[in-house]
Amino acid sequence: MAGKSPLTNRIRRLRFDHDEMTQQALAQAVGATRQTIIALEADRYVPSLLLAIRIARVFSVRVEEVFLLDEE
Amino acid sequence: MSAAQKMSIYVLCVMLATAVAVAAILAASGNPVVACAGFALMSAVVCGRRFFREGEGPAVDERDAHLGRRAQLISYRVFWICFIAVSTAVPLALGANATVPSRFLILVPWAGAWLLFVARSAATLLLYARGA
Repeated sequence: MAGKSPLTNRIRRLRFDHDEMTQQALAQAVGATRQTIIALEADRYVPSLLLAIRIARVFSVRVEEVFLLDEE
Repeated sequence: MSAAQKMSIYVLCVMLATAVAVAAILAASGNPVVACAGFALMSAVVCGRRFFREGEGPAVDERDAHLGRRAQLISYRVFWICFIAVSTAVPLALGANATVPSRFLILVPWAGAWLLFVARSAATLLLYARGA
């Protein structure tokens, strides 16, 4: 899964919109490590459906509003 | 640095110490059976479990597990490539009818286990470095 994946996300934007939530705080909220949040924000890791749903729930949005599929 | 990376570095250090110990005992005693005692150092790998203690949040998550599975697969590939290379090279170097003293054969399973540890740890570090 090295390199950029076609799946991008708005996690960094959403974190800042939620009182500048830290990566550590988000990691703890979804049961992941901070390294995974860093990899997600850099589009270097495609999360499982479970993790994607957990992240969306933390921000109270739908999964599609967090993760975007770049089909071009 | 993740717990898996710390563990991999620790395992590589243990494997290096093991290789040095086995080589030193082999050089001193000249007996491969005695040199196998050096492989006892590999048991120090168990102490690496302390890296996986949970602090603020989990020490490992799905990404770590994913990279761990990939590193395991890579280590198996490395093992089989080395296995086939040695199986092919030994008859070529010594001749098809050569015999290997059984006291040297006792080193083979230990060396195989050592190689698996090294390959898995190196692959783990490589995968994290690539940002996979």
